[in-house]
Amino acid sequence: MNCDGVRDLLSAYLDGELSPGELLRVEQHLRRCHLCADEVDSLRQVVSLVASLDEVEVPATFHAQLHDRLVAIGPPVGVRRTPPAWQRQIRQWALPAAAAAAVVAVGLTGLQHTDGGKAGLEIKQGPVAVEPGPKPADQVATIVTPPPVVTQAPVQEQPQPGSDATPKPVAGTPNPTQSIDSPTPTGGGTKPSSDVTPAPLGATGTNPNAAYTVSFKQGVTPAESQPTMVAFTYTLEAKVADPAAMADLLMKKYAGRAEVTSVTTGKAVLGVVILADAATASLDLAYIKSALGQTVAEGEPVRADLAAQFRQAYQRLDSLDAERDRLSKATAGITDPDQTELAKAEFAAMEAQAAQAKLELANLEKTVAKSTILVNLSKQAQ
Amino acid sequence: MPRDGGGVNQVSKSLDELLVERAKRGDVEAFERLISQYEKKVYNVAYRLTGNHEDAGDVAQEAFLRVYNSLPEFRGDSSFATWLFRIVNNACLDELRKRKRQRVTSLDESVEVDDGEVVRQFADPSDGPEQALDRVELQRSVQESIMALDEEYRVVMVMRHMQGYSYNEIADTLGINIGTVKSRLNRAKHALKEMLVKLELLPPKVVYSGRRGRTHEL
Repeated sequence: MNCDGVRDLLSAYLDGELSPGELLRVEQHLRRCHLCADEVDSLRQVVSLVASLDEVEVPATFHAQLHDRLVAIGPPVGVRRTPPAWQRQIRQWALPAAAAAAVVAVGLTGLQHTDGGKAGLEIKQGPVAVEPGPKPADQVATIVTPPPVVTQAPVQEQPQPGSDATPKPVAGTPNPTQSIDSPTPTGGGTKPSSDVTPAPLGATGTNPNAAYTVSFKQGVTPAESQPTMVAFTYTLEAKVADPAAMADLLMKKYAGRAEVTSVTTGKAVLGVVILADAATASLDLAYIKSALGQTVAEGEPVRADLAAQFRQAYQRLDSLDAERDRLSKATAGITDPDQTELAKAEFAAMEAQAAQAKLELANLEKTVAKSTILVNLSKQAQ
Repeated sequence: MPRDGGGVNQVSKSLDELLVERAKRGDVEAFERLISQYEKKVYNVAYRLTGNHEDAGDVAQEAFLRVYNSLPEFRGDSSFATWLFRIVNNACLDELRKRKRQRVTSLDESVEVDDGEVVRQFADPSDGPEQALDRVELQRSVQESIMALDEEYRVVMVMRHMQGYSYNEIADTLGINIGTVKSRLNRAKHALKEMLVKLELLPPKVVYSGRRGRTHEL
């Protein structure tokens, strides 16, 4: 085989996509022709350069813009045909306005100092602390008779403490409801808040109050969970010669998802909070550790796979959908006022449960979105 | 608590199934959760194909919108990821064809003039190419070389060497035959190689004579 013939096959040769016959001929030729062998080397370098291009960050506005456009479409109508009218009806539970406004950021780490310096990360269970929001509009749940109509049920702003108001999850999976006071990393700019200090290092696995088992299993993820359903916080502490310069470096590297959050004037600790996701966290950690150098100490990571909770919440919504359909069929055309009242009450109860499920989902999303790498920088003693 | 009536059937559904079903009925949050694990990858494919963030955002959004609108046709006979990227890659290619006019430095032109001019764009010759170009510069040059390829060639390069598709998968996804995939990738790589050699990002080594038909056998 001559060089021209081989040259056209070199790309496929490198990609391992030659037929056995072609492969044999190319290999024979390469053994004798250093011109083509050099060409293979060059092509290999080309591929390497292309394949090693860094992943770029998705701009902050992307997600919101896409969301708006999706909402404007409504249910997908298909690209080729328009489905029949009965399929097109919006069958979803609207998150009541009040509850939507009241969704509070929840996270895994209690960044607030409690009990005066108690060692370990405090993960408290308890009712979701709800910020006061706008009052819900006065709306009354109506009977769902065909065609179905989406209504908003009034929802209490303050969910009851205790477990009565919240549907109990399947045994073994705790409810992710914690009240914390965590800084919002996406604000941009420095937020000096001397009363909020990063969580101290220490073992947390045996904390009886922990809602999650704090054990870090590297590389082991349940088959069903996606990286984007894992919520975590990694904490790194390092003594560096120039904390401000190091913070600056990290801010530049993670521009758009990093923030300097705390300055404890007594110890001169700079905290850098970097938003991360489970898919890229190990890369981020490797980079940061190499930048920090020898004195980096790693705290006990907090990591929770929330796939099960997501699934439960969606299953609940799914069941409620089925229930609502059943109820609407069963109550179609009833005239007795007492029965009507009963049906209304049933429907209102389901609306409330659906709203709760939606709230849980929103909280889960927020929890995942707050996955962070905390870097605490203090000045190295000279 | 959900009542018994609906309970039995629901438990067996996987989370993805639930999300797909809800997304089909217009639950935007469910759709967003479904695509959340692909968002970064899709954006990066769009970025490498368009070369800038503004176009990447538009193209990636169009791709996701097309996925959303195609949901009624998803039957679950392939994995959601496979189905999604089939739509995404085709949507990206369609968008590229629409945007014939792109912000690309025409490397073919600049490499034909005095070599010094090309080098000056990217590096100070006195530094030596390796020192002058740090990683950011290098990646920008590679990206610009990719942009100098025609979109049909660019797409197969990205699909093979950034997304990891096999030749068969590329052929299947784009609806072309495998011989076309082979020849496009071959020409794309050779073109990239020549550009990168002229940019002094690859050592020159021995270059084939431009005249085809010349045989060289030891």
